[in-house]
Amino acid sequence: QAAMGTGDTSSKKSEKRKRRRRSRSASPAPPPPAPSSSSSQAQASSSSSSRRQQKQPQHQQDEEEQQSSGDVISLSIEETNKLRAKLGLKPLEVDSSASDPKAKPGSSSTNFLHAPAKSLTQAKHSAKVQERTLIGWQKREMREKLTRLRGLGDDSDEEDKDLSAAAWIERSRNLEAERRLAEQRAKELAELDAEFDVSRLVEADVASSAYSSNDLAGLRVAHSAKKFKEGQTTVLVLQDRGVLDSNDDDAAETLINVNMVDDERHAENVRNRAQVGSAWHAANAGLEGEAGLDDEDDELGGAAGPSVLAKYDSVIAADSASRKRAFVLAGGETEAPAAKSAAALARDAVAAASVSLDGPSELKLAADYLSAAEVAEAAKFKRRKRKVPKSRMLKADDLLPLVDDEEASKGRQEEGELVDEAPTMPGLTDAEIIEQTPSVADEALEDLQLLLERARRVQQQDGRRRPRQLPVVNRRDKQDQEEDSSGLPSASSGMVFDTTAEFCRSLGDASKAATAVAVAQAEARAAVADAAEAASFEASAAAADVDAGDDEDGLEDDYSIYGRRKQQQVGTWMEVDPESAMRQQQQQQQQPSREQYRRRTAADDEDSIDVSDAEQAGGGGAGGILEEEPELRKGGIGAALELARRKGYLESSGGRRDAAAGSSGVSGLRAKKVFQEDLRHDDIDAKFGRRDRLSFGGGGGGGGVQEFKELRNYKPDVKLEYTDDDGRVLNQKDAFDYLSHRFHGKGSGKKKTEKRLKKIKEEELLKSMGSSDTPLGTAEKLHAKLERQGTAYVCLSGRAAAASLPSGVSK
Amino acid sequence: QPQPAMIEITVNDRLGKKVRIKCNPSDTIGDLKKLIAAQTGTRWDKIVLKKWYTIFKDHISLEDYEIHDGMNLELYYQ
Repeated sequence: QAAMGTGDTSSKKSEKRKRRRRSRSASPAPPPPAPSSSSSQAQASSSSSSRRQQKQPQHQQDEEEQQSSGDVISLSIEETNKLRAKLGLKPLEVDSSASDPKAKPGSSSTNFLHAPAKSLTQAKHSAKVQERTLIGWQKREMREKLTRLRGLGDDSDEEDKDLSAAAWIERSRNLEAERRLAEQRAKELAELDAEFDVSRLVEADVASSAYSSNDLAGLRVAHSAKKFKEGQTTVLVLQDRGVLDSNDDDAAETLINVNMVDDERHAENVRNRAQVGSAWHAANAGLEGEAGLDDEDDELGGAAGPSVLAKYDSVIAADSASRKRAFVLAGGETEAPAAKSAAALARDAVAAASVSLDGPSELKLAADYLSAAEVAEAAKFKRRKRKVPKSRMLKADDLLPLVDDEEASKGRQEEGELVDEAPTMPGLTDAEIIEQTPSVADEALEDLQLLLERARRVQQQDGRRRPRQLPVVNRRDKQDQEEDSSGLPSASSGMVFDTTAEFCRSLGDASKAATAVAVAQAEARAAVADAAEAASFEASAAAADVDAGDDEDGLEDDYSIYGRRKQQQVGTWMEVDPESAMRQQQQQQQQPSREQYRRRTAADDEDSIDVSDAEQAGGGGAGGILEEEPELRKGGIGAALELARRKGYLESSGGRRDAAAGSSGVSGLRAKKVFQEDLRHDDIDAKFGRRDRLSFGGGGGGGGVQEFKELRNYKPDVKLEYTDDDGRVLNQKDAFDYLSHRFHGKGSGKKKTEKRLKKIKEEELLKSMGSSDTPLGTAEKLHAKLERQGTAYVCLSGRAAAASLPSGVSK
Repeated sequence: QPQPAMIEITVNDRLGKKVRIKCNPSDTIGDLKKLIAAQTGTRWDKIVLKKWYTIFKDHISLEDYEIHDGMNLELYYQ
């Protein structure tokens, strides 16, 4: 930066100006200048001085002292260092030598060295070089190879050095022959192999080997021969043995297969577990390979029951089993036993797990009761218990120990128990006692006494037990039971009160009682009736007409049995007064047989149903529920019908009423149904509310209007057609319009009428339209034109067209 | 560019205080403030150095702020 200052005279000034300018230029848009506070000089100078300043390198001012004049305060280096030392900062670094970026490793400018850019030319060059070298190496390889190879020209047999072609041909032929021979030999060998055992040939080849199968003769194998299948190679190892064990039969060297040993042990464990527990295990143990198949060899066989020292059975058994299973190798070949076929294996497994279904050969029906044979057996069994001398008689002295026994057995015996378990008499059972009874007469007496005692006891109903009498009673009781078992149980043997039985009895008793009473009454009445019949004949004749006319009585008499008898009503129950019933009976009887059919039948049936009526009366009076069925001793169909009527099987008097009411005479003319309307004259709704068609105008039309029977199915097809003034048929809307116009006296306005007329015209046109032509009648017009023209065509455009147009129409 | 060993910074308060400080580029702003305070007579924690609205923080060195030789900083007081 060139110094642009004026001179040295005002160096300070210039410096000031320079500094000022520098400071000015260096700083960005300055904040608004605030009024000076500290140095007015600086302010004045800054505002007034010129702007030209030069930038002097800072290093020139290093030696200067602090210049407080002007606007800049600065310290010298020494001062700065002093200050820094005071503050605790390290002194200023004065660059004595040219600053080296490498000398300052910490500086930020030296920390980052950019890697040189990858030069593409260099890369290409290096790639080319690489390729060339590679090619050269490959070429060298090939050259070397070629030098090693021998061409046809070179000699293969270096010994002969025979270059002739013939020799070469011969040599090649020999080679071929050799090749063929080799092939043949190989084929033959293969055939031989197929015929004989391969292993044999192999062994023959390997004849130099030290061991043969003969060396193995005499060695024991601790597994069963069945396990070794054909075509399978099993590796056997010598079983561990003590060093000092002698080579006896028991402790001979044994060969084992490790896997087989494990399997056996597992099977044993399973079997032991099966013995302890579940059936499943037992079943499955049979199916597992070794354990199942060797069942016939095993001592245990299947699952044996628990025995003494059962837990050691497994150990012992295993030992013995294994010993049994082992086989000794013979010299040469030991043929492995032919494995069981799959079918045989399956059969064995199934057989082991199968269950025999042969139950008891003969099946009998279960019975709740012992059959005769079984009873006999039981009896026999019982009898054999004690043997008693038959000549022994029952004496009073024998009862003494009995008493003691009974006292002892008080607690045991329950009251009323008639079957005794233990015969209290020493050495005597019931059956034997029967044999011993002295005589029948005595028996009978005893029986009577026993019965009396029992009855007394029952009546007393005391809870005390009579053990002393009990045994005697019991023995006799058993006899009774045996005797009575054939016949019905006697009535005095026991009183059983059953609700049903009581009810029935009460009914029967009641009816019987009523019947007895009624029978007596009937007899009395009968006597009276005979006497009074003659006397009552006239009286009844006089009353007959009255009666005939009096339907009420007749009607009532119809229901006499039900009506008068049941006049008394006590609450909801109807009681029959026996006296009134009796009177009824008398009335019935007094009416002579000359009366109508009903009465005659009643009279006829009197005797027959006399008893029944009496019974009814008596039953009603006594309060019996059921009546005895009436017996139709005499009287034929009439009596039966009467009974049926009474029972209610017949509708009461269908024909009778007619006869009684009388279709003839005044009664026939009377109204069948008479209703009496209860009119209410105050209530208007009631007046007009329910009005049948019958009640209109006093039953308008004379007792109601009935529709014509001929016209019941008449359904007229009504069509109402309205026509216009012109005669056109109007639809509903138009008809209404017409009606309203007529009603109101004015029609529609102008537009409306025009519209209507237009519509009418269009309708006419539509009607007149032909199917063969357009609505405008184009075809017809065309036809007419053609006629006029006399040509078969019409010109539509061109000069001819203009000429053909009708006059007055311009194109 | 290689850093000079010592740099001189001008700190200007628009109120008439203009100080030239010699320091190392590795000095922090805090050290610079202390130097300024020693020269101006204020307390160093009362000084705020700014450049247009960028406040220089005390713990960062001058070279990291890229404050080179002869730069001007604005002095304010808080």
